[in-house]
Amino acid sequence: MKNMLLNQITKSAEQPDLFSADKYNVVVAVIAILFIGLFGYLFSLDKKLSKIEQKEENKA
Amino acid sequence: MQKLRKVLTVFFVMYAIIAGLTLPVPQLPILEQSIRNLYYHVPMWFGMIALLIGSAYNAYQVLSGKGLMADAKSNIYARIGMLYGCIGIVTGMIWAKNTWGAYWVSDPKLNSAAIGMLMYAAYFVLRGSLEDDYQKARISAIYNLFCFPVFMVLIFVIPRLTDSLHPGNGGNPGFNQYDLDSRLRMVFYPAVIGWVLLGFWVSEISIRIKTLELKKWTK
Repeated sequence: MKNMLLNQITKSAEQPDLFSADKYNVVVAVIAILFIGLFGYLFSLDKKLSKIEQKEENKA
Repeated sequence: MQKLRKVLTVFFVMYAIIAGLTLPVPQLPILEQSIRNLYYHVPMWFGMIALLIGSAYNAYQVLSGKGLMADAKSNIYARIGMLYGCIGIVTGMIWAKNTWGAYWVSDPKLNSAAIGMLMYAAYFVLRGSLEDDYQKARISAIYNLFCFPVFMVLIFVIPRLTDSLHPGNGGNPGFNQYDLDSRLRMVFYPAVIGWVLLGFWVSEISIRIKTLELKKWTK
């Protein structure tokens, strides 16, 4: 069992595809999601503000 | 149109982040992989300059009688511009520590940037010290129009007259073929566009909040 696992680990270490060489791509994915989240919030903030502006305009 | 601009902002910034971290970069001595900071540190300064141009333009609008709204815009652009500048300084310090060996070196570009940012800090202090809104608008607009050209001379002209550790200074024009090869350009220019657009988007949100406040106040 232990041997099998070891075998798998060394195998995956032996044949990295171009991108996932040292799991660097994981970090890029994490940073990308982080920024997508922030931008999503910025968009929603923008929308909320538009709604308030609309309300103010209707009042006037 | 507004929406397209915002989608483009997200696209350019995301592209700069992902491509900036994954695309190959030229092998440079000392810098090594840290050349990727070009995609993150330098756009902060470009963004700051763009925002300060916006600030100076609105200061001019104040003086030609466009009123308090132009003053609010001028102030907010300067504020977001200084936020970019602070991020630029701190990221630059980290980069300097790992390539030049110290957080702060006596480089004309660094000292000039620090002086320029202190001048803008004085702008905010000046604004805070005046009570009357119209007086505040006019006096700070005049000071803003004085600050902006001096800052530009400080960071673009002075470092070129003397020797500087920054590339493209000490007599050489910036961004020539030796400094910036096509692999770097492919990410660098979109990064600059993206971060400039993002700066204006964040400012726009602040300006719209300020507009609502001003409307409430005048009612």
